Amino acid sequence: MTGHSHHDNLNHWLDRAADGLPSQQAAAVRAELAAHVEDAVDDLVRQGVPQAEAQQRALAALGDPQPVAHGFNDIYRGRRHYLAAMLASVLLLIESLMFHQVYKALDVVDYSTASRLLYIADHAVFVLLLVYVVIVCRWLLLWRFNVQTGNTPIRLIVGGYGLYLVGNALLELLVDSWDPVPTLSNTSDPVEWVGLLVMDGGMLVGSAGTVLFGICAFQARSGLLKATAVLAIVASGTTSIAIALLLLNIEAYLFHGLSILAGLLLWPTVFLLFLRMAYTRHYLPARTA
Amino acid sequence: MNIKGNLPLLILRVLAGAPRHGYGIAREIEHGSEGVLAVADGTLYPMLHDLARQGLIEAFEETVNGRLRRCYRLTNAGQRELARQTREWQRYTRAVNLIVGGIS
Repeated sequence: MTGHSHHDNLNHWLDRAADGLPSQQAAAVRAELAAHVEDAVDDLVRQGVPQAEAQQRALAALGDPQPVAHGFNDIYRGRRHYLAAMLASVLLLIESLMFHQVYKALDVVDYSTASRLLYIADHAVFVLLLVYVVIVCRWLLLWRFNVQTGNTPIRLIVGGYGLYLVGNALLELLVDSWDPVPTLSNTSDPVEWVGLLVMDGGMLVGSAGTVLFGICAFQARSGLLKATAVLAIVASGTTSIAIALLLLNIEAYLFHGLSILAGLLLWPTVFLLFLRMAYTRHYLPARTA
Repeated sequence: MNIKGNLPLLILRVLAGAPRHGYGIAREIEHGSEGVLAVADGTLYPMLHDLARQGLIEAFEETVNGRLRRCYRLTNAGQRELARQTREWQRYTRAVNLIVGGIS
């Protein structure tokens, strides 16, 4: 290996190790790790190792740059998001438990424009918080537990819950009144039918995405995280089945009730547990000798 | 031997001896354990930065062998944490020894 190629290899390693970090931290990390390699090469040369071999060995001793990048991203990018996502989970829980009481207190449980807009805003905030928490969980799984979830679950969740919001807005804005537990067969209004299909279809896709996400999270080497992932899979799986039954025009009220419970209470609880325990655990890969 | 769960304790213990830079810490762990304990050098640094953010160690710049290096030293909070983790470790190893040592 020539001196020039060592420089290139070192730069490549440093690029990967500092990947995703804010520029100030990236520069500091690169300088510190480059100095480490310089010291390691000098040490090996002093022991009689030829320069080229010393450079090669010093770089190899750094190990895989990916877990290093995960560790730094966890520290410099993740921490504030983990706290924010925990707050978002608490808000999701409060929203789930309190919103109907707020409706009653405000006396807006009617089909007025204000009531409908409030419902749309409530759903939009709920979905935005949910998506944010899922994205942070994804980072956390990657940076803290070295588990890759891929883009598919996130796309399904964002796309599915986006459709859910569109369907909900269609129903609230264009339909005079609609059945709180509707099926496609008990509606004759085509707009209501489309609205229900988009809303329920979106939720089905989103729930399928969260099941997939839970399956990925199950790979983490943590018993508590595995248990939480199972809870998430059961909660969103229940929702998926309930929505599928509704789309098939099967009025399974018990199941629908369970899915509402799962969607409103279990999900925020799952996320809160997930983030809480992951926030307090450290798993940094190390070489075995 | 895989040391990932005990890396903070090892770092704090090494720095209790004297302030060091990252390379010095890695070599001290390796040599101090007669080569049994070794960490991939790169993964040491996120842990160092994490301990610094927790206030258990602090970073400062110092000239080592004619070159400016980022070094680390133990803080008062780090000394207390080292004492706590050491007690935990001794309790754990004693418990394991009670079982393993009793098997003939």
